[in-house]
Amino acid sequence: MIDVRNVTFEYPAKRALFDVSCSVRAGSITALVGPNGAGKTTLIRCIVGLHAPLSGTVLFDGIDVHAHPRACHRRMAYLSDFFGVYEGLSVRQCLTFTARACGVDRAQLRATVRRVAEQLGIASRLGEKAGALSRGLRQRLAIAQAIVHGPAFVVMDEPASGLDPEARGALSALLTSLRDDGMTLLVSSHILAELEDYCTDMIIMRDGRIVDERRLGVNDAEMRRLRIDLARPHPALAGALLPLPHVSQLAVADDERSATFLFSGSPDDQHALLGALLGAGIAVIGLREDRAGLQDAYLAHLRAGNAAARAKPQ
Amino acid sequence: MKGNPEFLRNLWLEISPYRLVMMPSVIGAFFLVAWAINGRTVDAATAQICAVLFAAIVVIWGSRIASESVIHEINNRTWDNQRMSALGPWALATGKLFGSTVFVWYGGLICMGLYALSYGELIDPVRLFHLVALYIGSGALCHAVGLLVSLQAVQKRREFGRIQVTFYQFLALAALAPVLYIGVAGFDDRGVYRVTSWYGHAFELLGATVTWLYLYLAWALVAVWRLMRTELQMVNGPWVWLGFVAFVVLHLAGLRVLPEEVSRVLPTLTGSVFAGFFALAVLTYLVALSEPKGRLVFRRLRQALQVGDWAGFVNRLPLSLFTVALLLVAALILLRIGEARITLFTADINFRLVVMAAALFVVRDVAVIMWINLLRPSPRADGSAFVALALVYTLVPVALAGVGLDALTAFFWPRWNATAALTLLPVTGEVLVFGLLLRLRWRRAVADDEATY
Repeated sequence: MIDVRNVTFEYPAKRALFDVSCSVRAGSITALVGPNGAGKTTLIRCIVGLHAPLSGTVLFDGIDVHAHPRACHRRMAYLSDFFGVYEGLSVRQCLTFTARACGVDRAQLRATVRRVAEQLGIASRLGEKAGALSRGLRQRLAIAQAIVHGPAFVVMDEPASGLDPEARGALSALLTSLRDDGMTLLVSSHILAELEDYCTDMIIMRDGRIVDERRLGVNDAEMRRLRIDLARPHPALAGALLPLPHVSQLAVADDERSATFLFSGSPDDQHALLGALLGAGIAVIGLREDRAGLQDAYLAHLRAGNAAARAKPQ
Repeated sequence: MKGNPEFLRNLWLEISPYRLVMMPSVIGAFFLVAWAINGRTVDAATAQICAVLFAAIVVIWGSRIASESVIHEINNRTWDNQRMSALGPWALATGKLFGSTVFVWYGGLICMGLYALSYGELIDPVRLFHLVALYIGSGALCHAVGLLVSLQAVQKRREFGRIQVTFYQFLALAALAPVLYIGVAGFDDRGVYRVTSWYGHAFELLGATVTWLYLYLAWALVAVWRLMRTELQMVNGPWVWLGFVAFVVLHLAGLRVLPEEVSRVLPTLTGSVFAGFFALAVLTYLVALSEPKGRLVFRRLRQALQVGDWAGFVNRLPLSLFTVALLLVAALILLRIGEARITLFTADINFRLVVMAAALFVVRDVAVIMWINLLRPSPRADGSAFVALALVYTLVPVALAGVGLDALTAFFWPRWNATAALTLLPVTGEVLVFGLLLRLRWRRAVADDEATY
């Protein structure tokens, strides 16, 4: 859906993106992660056409975003990390204005505003002034404004910052539901554990460059990382697991009470694996997908980057 | 306009039942007091009160609102939403311009209604129409220039305080200086508007002023639209600017806007071209000090050259370069048609040398402005350049003259009656020096880039 090709971007005093190329798959929720100053926000603003790169192109379904910004904006949405709402307007007016500004058909306005307000759980607040809403509700209003025109591609820059745990949980559920509705999402965040709940792809940035771009194991039918937990340590766990079909890359914890491994079988195969382990007298208390892939990958890159920086001759 | 979402949003924000009642109540109270003090009659005195109220509400308050309409969006972080919407540049420009000021226009139209009522049959209906049109056009021009200046500033900075907004408002009000001048000095001894001449054709000053005012308003709207396109990442070429330059030159050359004494001693054609030359110099400074021209602009130009994107190269060239090129053309025309020497007051002036020197000084100043911008990439670079040039043209030559070093003032001013060498060599040297400095600065920036990246 999004194809970033050799994008270089400069601020007056520094270069922020160095020949960046990456892509966002249609139907994915892609996490854009990296330390502060890595260039995430700059890349996002180039992707949505708010920054014009010095060189390179961004294609949205084959259309050059910077050559035809308005055509792309009709099908895109962007929620900035520091978003604002029109505090003097009611929630209904905010949504109505945005819907009209984004080209929603006038005959559909009322129904569209109602639908998106219900989707975001702010239907009961339609008559309230936006300035009177709590931080969490303003966040919902901002997201509602972003998606009111039913965009195909939604970009959110640090959407969870400043939200309490309950609101973050709701945000995760919302992003998953947007993906299920057919939208493609690109989400930048520092809170990796939370991104793991719903992201399918990951792009890691560092110092204005892409250092890794990959599909995550989550929801991948061909290869999943599984985690097994035991009630008590089992010294022969590795010996019991490795001979079983579809198992590879086993890593047993030091306390021998858990292990992770790649599993290439179907759910039936997974059921058979569980039966085999129980049959071997192993006290299994849990067998589930291991979702630590994103954080592991990110931290591995971070460590590699730091090591490279330390090794660099002064 | 009703179908413009941005206008509608402003309408929701600006208009409330309370405000709809308060505005006519306040204006009505002022009018009643004026009517009572004026012996319970309406005439020119009450009309002037209405005009003052209009100026306070529409011109002063309205220019403030228009100047901060986009800045308010940036400060409140809602501007990106608008840039990401499907609204086109024209819808955004008109929605902001007429939407943000809709409440002051509500008050302004009430004032103009009472103004017309006060004059009633005291003056000719055509003149009354012209006066009302002049007030309304002045307000609209002020708002358009306020929005225009703030949009131009947005090209260079994204953080604004009250001081910046006040400065933009001041510039918007300054755009009305010619109208104010005509309002003060446009009458003859009998209180009748003078007649003005444009390319030899006589026009009544009031009607002509109204016509020109609305034409400049149209250009201001086009300029706002053009800058809104820039904000929406659409590429603008130089053609709209060149059209405006041609319009201003034709207008001022036709009017021969020059000091009366200068106008008297120059033949008609020379006077017109000289007025155009003067207009081009002013426009060159205006655009050179306001447009973005830092490293990024030059990097994009270099990038366009490297990939052979000639259209992109032309579209990204600083507009001051086009304007200064036209200024040099006007200077060459003056060299061809102008008198070699003229006598102004009692001074014998080498007219052609002065024109050449003046053109070279403008070229030097454009180079200085660009050099400072490359040297110090900051939103304040243009302010620094302005202060530097102001000092160069005022304190330094006055100080030199004060200590008897008149000859050295040729580095800072065109000398009226010196030899060609003394008039032209210093400024030519300065052009070469600053051209070289600009080139060195740019090569240094390129070398820095290559070393860093």
